[in-house]
Amino acid sequence: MSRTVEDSADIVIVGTGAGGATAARVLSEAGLSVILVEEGPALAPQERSPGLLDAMLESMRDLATVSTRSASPMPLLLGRCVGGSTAVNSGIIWRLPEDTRRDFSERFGLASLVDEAALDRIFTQIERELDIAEVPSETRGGNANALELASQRLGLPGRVIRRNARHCVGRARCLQGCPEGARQSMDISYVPRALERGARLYPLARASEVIIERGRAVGVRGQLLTSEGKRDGRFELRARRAVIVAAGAIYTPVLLRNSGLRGVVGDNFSAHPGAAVVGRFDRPVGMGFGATQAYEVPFREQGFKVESLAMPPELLAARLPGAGRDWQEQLSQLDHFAQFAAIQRVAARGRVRPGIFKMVDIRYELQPEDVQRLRDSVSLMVRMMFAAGAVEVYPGVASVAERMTHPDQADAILAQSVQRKDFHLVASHHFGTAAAGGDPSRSVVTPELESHEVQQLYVMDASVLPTNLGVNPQHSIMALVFHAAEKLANRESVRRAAA
Amino acid sequence: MTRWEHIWAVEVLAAFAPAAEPRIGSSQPSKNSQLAPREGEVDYLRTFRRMHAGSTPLAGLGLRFALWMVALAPLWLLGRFATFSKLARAERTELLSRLLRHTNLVVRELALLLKLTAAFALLGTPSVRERSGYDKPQAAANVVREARRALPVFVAPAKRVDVVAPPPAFAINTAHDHAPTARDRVAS
Repeated sequence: MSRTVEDSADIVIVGTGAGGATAARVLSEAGLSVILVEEGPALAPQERSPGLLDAMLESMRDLATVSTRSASPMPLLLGRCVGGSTAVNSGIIWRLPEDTRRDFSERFGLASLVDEAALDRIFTQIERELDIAEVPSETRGGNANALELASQRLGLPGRVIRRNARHCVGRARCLQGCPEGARQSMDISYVPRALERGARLYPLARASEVIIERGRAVGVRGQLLTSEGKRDGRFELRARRAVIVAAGAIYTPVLLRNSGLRGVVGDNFSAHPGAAVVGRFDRPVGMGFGATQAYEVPFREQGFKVESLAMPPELLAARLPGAGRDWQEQLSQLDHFAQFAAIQRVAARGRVRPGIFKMVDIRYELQPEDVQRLRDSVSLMVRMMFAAGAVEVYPGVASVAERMTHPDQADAILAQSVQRKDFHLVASHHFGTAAAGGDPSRSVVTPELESHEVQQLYVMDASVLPTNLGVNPQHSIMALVFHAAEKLANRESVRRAAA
Repeated sequence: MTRWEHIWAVEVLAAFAPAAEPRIGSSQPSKNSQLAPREGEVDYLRTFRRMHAGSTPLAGLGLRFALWMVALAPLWLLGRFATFSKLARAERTELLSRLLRHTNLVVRELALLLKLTAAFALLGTPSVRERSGYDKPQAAANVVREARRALPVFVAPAKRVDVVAPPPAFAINTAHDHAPTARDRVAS
């Protein structure tokens, strides 16, 4: 412990992802002084490593080995750098679906937070500020074109993905962090914007506790880290008006519980588990060029969404069947593969708690109806891959044929004998562990996103969403946080005027 | 990691993508072996160590356990009193294939974790990556690029941000070049 950093501001924000950065953008422009704390490093686009392992070590928490504790563990993708997960995702933008908005309003008492007119105004503003638009045809890439073709041939409701990218040149490196600075992730959009307004950023600083005095949150303390993740001192940041926790749906409840909050903190965890299908074509697909994700086919009523997902070659290689010479033959045709993935709006609910050795304990088991949804979506993706022209499809389901050569083989995946343990799943969107709501016995924060338990303590990230969405959540998180941060700024303004 | 684990890490990871062999009746390697590494070209041990160090403690333990699982698989899977090191090349490949298809999820996932590590090592090697032809810099360069606006590229010190004196509380920002903010709305 060689260094000690002390500082103070009106607002201290833990986390620089979609929630924390948006709060900083609104509050700093409202004239409040803001400090941002981020556990990961600050990386400029040109500093991002092209190699996947280097990039993941720099900006992905624990190399994506944080997993659920369940009969069939599921790894979770979590960004850990300035920009949070927005720096290493595909930038897919969806407004909060209307059925979910109504559900939040009616079932969880969040009418003021999800007010239709306010959200419409905010969505529009964010879309303008982050250059949100459909992926242009010249950078969609062969993988997305394959999904579009399948969608057209099968008469499915496909659409070009809308992303927050500005002049993307199609390097297919979204998951490593865009080397062009094209994707308008928080590290190159709202964080710099807040810094221009005087906000101060502490990267490589891991918050360990919210300081609570006489029932009020008054600051944050934790450890400073080296770029290798070793301890390098401690910090204590005092907040005059509010502490905002925006560390994501896994680490926000851990921080809150480590700060003494209890109740339902960490309960109600939900996610969007994803499964993928790979197809081999007899011609080059060119997965190595284009936006990482550029085309999607939503099946809202069925509870899943199929997306094109171009992979870095390391991950694609691991996904191909076989070993030895068999595997090498696959690798020699890396540009002949396409991949589709389906995110599932599952019913399962779990819980998140601090674990031993500073790990996190995530209990999460899919329900029988979730497994049926998995069967449906993977079986459909196999058929879609054949419709796109694949000559061989790898469904990635352990109890059926490893390689399929005819679409009718997809029916085998629908059998009841195919179980959860047969699927390899990854969860990239996480929700609900500090849910907002009007009832303190069922929620952690109010509709204004302030803690029921501790004054001046706010949660502004995906934790506050009481259910999963069925669509990519970044835009919804930003809009709800934008709205809540505006209200906080307004209250501070009124308070100052009164004073 | 123990000395045995070092040896097994190299042997097991290399077995996923063994060095190229000449085609029968030819002195040239098969076209399909173009990604096969040359002797010493890929540093499997370094990749394994980096994966181990970067993972959660539990996943790091899982990586090591995966090595033991594969190293002793001839015994528990094939019923042969031998370790992985004693197997011939073709037998190693067959063993890995069986582990990757195993009915037990834990066995399957641990084998996949090693395969992923091998893929990281193989395609993380620049010379192999170049031979793969996966990256398409030419295609990217061919995209018609509009003149890029100056981005607010964030360049922050990688290691430390010096503490600066906090600005006065509730300082009023007047330089708005964006849409009206919450403060503007309150003021109006």
